[in-house]
Amino acid sequence: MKFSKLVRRTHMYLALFLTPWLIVYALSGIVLNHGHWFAAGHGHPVPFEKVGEREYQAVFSEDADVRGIAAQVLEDLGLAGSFSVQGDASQPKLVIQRGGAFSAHRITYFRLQNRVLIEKQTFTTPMFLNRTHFRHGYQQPYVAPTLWAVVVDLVVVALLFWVLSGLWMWWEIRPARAWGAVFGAVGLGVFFLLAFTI
Amino acid sequence: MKSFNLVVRRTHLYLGMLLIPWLLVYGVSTLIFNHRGAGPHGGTPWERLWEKPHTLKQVPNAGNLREVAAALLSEQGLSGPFGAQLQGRRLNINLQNFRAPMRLVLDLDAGRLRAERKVFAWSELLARLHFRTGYNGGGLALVWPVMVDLFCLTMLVWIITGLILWWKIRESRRKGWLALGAGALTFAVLLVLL
Repeated sequence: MKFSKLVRRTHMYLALFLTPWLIVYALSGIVLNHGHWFAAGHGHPVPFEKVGEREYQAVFSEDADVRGIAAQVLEDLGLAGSFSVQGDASQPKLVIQRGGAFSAHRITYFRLQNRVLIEKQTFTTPMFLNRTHFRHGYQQPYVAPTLWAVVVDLVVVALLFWVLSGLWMWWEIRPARAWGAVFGAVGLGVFFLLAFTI
Repeated sequence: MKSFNLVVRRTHLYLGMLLIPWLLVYGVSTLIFNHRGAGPHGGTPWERLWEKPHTLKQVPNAGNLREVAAALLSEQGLSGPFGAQLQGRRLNINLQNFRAPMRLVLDLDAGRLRAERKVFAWSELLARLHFRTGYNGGGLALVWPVMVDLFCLTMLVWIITGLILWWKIRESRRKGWLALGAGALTFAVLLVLL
């Protein structure tokens, strides 16, 4: 395969594979840029509703790590997956935020009372888009979030590759050189004007 | 038909040429976010510019916070999009700026006004460029969210025109379906498992 064709096909197949992510980033970008239109997804979080409250008997050693405790609680509740936890292991109350793709749970573990309160956030499309937009990083010890972070890296590689391959393809199309240069110059001009003034 | 094909190709290309800086900013900044550790990200420190006595004419409260902050900025000869926050007896005003964000901190009890500027770092500049959204400024500051909207709409245009261009290349249809299907399946499976 000729180099030029290889560049074109890679540009295209990469985009086809990443289409769902591009749709999410485009739509969530609009939600974030127009926060007041989608108040529930921007600055005004959707409230949590109580799902249940139950007894939770568990003994953790004194040196137990707070993330370890939270992971165990989630696993016992059948909610294992990426999470964040407020507080440290010595506190009598731990608040665990379990952010799934379609739902978010908040688990409050009252350690002295051996009780857990389970709350769930109602699904809204703007919230889903924003959560999906901001999902990144390799900090969670689970397979799915790690694979998601790998795809985020692939999106980054694709963005950079699309710029380089796009420039290559533009230069190959002789009739498009002049107008392409104009659009490129306008883009650079607007960007640097804004970056240096606002 | 040929002209429609040409319009699709040129739209795809010229929008790409126009938005190259945004593609680079969103790409490089996302790489930083994706590989940053789990620790706190307070960023670079604030350096003090000046401090002087100052008393407000109006007592700030939740109802007049933006009005009081705008008046204070105007008195200091400062302008631009800002956010105001009342933290106990302290008024914080953050002035947005890509290269050098400023903040004014007014201690209401001591009557002291302090101006500070964020120490520059490339990673923070990229983060500010990535995160800045919303129509909350005037003048040139209004152009940025327009460009953000244009970028988001362009991503959708790239998808539509890209799909048309793919479909035109008969020999690529099979592999294209595979790429599209694999992407959609990976996306769906990951969402369910997250």
